Amino acid sequence: MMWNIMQNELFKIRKQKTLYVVAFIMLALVVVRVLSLSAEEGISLNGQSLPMVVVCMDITQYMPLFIVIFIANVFTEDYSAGTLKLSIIRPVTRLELLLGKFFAIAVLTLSINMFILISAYVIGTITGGWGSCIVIPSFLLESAGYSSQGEITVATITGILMTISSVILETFVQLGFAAVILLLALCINSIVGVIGIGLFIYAIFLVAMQILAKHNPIYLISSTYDICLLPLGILEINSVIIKLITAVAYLAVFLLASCTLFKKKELVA
Amino acid sequence: MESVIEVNGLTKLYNRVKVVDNLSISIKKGDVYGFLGPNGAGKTTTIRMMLGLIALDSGSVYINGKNIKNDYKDFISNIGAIVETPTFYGYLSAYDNLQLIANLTPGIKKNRVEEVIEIVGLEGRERDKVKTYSLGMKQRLGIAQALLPNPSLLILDEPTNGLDPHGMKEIRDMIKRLAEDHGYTFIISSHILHDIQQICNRVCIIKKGKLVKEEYVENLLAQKAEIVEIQTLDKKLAIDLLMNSASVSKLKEIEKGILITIESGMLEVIIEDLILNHIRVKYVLPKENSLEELFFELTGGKEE
Repeated sequence: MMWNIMQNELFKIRKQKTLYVVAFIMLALVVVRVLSLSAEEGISLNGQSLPMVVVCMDITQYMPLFIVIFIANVFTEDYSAGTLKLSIIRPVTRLELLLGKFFAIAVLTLSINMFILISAYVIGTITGGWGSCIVIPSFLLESAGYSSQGEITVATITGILMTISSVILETFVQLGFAAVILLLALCINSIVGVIGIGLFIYAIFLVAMQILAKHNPIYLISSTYDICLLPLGILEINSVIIKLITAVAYLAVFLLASCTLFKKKELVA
Repeated sequence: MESVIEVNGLTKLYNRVKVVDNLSISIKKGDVYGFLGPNGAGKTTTIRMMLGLIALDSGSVYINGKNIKNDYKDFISNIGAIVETPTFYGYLSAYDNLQLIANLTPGIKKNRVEEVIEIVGLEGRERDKVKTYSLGMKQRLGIAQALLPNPSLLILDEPTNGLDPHGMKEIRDMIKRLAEDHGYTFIISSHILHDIQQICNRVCIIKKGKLVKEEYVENLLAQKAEIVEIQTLDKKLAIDLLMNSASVSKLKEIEKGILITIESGMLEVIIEDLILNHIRVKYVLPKENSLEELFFELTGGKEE
């Protein structure tokens, strides 16, 4: 039944404009990234290298914003518009319903991330050619906190696998953040409220990460820097494991809390 | 006859106030059961509890022997419902909306969506987006989604709410047809007592969450005394006389005359009394007994 619920949610999302607007905005951000790198840093990345920059900088920074909007749409709007009742009064448990909807968010997040990745490969190849290897620029290493390394090159196959695994791992980290927002969405019955507070929570994560400790595992956002850099041998495996455990902990704690709350929620809308 | 639904001792508290208070009802197969009560009487809260939308503070609900608490999936499989205004995904067509619900209903026939669209008369418009539908069409779509699982019991909360007279008649006729031709059992909550009187064979009236009366409509109306409107040129004299008459149980002054409730068969005596006392009677109009009058009598006044 959870599979059917997930299919229903993905069908509804496909039929709405939000998905296409988000995909378009993310695409536009990739183009802006190419133009700004070229204008400000004088860097022209090849088709193999641009995706890693996009994963580390754009997918990491902007996707959580859209996750907040998707959760507000899938959970809060469904409740406040009264359409959630249509599913509740069918032979579906609340646990199945909640998890089915959350898995739909997971599939959606991964799909958009993959779409951006493929777009980055295409745009990078058009603007800078395919190239012979992946070049990880020094500014990316510096912004991740690993200075004085200079740029690093990685062989094509290794680089592509590294980039794809980075997206998958980043999606996983983003779902930890999504679980936090899910709990919020179940507590607040207003879409504007969920989006507003959700963005505020995101901002707190970002600011805390910047001010307190860039690599402190309690901050979910921007974990990908470390994950991406693991294969380059400049990061210890322990650090990545701690970050993944953090993401799992966020996911488990907030999903469990959401399930408990949703099971007891009185549906009066 | 076997009961489709058994509600026993249903209670719900909000802020320590009992909004549903030890309510017990039983609905038999084939009943079209009217669920009446003034605003705030606890009708929608009761329906929400019956559907598992809100928790029961105490009591039990069984449908075909399945308990809402222990056999929720089997329990809810037997119900089709509209709670308050039917809401759908406006950006989807009626067909897509029904298909989504069908996906959550195990064992549903492949062509069931088309079947229910035909039953409610939405064929030809099923591919249009729901946001383009009138309220009447949305109500019909609501009934279609309730019929989808071919349930033992249909619960319709205010199914004619907000509709124009034509729309009301359409929904009323549809419910009658579904009950007569398909044998569905209904619980219908409504403010429109005229509708309930026309559609339902049994009613229950609740007030402040408590059951006030549960009876067959036929019996309710038969046990009532006669109501007669008297139009006279000597209204004051007539009122004085009738107030002292043992046959008159209730008297109300209205714009055109007097409305009296009398024991059955006593009208002749009343008229004779009026004439003997030289009261000039213009008209004597027998009034049809209605559920509305009984409702006001039992709930203590007009609805809010």
